[in-house]
Amino acid sequence: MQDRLHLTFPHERIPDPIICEVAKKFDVIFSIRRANVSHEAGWMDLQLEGDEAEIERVVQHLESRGVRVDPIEGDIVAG
Amino acid sequence: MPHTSSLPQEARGAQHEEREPQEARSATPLLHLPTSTSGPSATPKAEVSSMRRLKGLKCRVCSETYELCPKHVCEFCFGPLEVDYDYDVIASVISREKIQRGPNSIWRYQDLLPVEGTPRVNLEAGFTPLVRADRLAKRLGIKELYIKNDTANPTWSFKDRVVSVALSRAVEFGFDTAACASTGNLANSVAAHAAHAGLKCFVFIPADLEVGKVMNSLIYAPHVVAVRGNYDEVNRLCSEIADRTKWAFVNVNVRPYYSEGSKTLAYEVAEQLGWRAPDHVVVPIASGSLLTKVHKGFGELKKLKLIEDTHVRISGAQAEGCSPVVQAYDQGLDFVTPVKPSTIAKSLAIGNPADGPFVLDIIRETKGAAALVTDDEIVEGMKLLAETEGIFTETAGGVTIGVLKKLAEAGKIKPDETTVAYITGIGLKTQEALAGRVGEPYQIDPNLNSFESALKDVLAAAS
Repeated sequence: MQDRLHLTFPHERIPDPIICEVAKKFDVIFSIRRANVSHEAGWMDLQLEGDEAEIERVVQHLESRGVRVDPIEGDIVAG
Repeated sequence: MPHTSSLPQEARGAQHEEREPQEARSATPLLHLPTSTSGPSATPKAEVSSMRRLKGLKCRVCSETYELCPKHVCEFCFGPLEVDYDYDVIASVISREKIQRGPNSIWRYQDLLPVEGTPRVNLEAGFTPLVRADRLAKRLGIKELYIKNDTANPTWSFKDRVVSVALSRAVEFGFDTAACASTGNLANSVAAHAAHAGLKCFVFIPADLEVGKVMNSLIYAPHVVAVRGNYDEVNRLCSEIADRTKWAFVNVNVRPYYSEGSKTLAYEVAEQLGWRAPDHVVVPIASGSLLTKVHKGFGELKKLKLIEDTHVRISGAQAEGCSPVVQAYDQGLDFVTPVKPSTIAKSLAIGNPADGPFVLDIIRETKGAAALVTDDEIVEGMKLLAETEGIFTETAGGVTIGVLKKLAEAGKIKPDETTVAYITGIGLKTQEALAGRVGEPYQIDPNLNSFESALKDVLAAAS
């Protein structure tokens, strides 16, 4: 399974090696398509590939580390 | 149940062979969900003309190109795709006169929309009134103000423009099922247009949505699916469903076509002003798509020499409880940090706006402004528009008018600028926001004395 995600890193998480953790702790592979990280905040668009349950664990891990995880489309539930 | 339908060839393909596996994956159906079957309308409409008005899709970030197909994200950089036109071809066929001879709907501008044949999903959206708003202008200290009154659409919001374009294109691609995730106007519009065109329709809503909000969709008899979960969970699920079904999810896989419908809000204003662009427009921001397409629309008219080379300042309006774009603008950032919405302006409650960065670029490039209003100011904005101009807008319109007022008071709208405020939806759908805020009727007994007594109160209150 593949999933395209938009990650948003808050200011206080910028120094943490969160993406490295994903690579080392989970059985997934990913490619970073676009990113912008500064000392203020950061975002990253990536494609994750792996088992569906493992991808879900990655998402939970990211959220537990304070990273916001969204579908690449942004919000699609419109008014 | 095995999935038996297939998208027409035209609908499948990026131009590059190596992308096929991902495209095929994206199209993998969920077996437990009903999927579309090819109906009479499923035959792809081949573009036979050598004069190709529509070149394809193009990534707004990296400029990678794709054939016209139901795809919304660039496979390389994940940037949004948009329709790429050949303006030389369009210039050779379009004219003010031709447009004026067209129908009184968005389809008078079909040369600039991504639909090739006769639009097949058409409730005659658009060509709504542009109302000269002198009384409101006077209150705000502006000389020439207009309200683009898009409450006057088939389902009473501007969403009819985008939905009509998205679904007309979707039928050309061979889809027979329309879908969306929405808490309000979008759902109403998709359900109505699907009903009119005989398309199957799925509307996804959060399970805790008030019954009254769903009524405006249920009347058109779509399949309404209430998802038990918080907003983020509903959002993620809908993204996955859109990825796995062969439905035209209007603001997901056919989003490049959908969003083009908003350009008609620029075309109409220019035409209604006598083929000139205004100096300044105020546009509400939800996903940001509307603002970017209004900008694109005026730009196209200039490019095609249908209007003089003018400079339109574009300003954006958000509610304080959901203002990620205004916050980024104020902080000088070129990207948007998502927020959790909490505002009465539900139709603008997009915490993670997909087009946020593009909106920031446009506001800065056109020397517009961005501002926010509180929930209280939203209600005041609704009342102000109704009291001065007789237009009953929803909360989103209250945001627009509240920000218009703020920008005028701050001198960011110059008094001599021809200004247009976009009112995108009707107030009848958001009446709860006005509870206790619009006064009470005078109660009288059925005799003249009682009336005269009340009249004294009325006159005293008015003086």
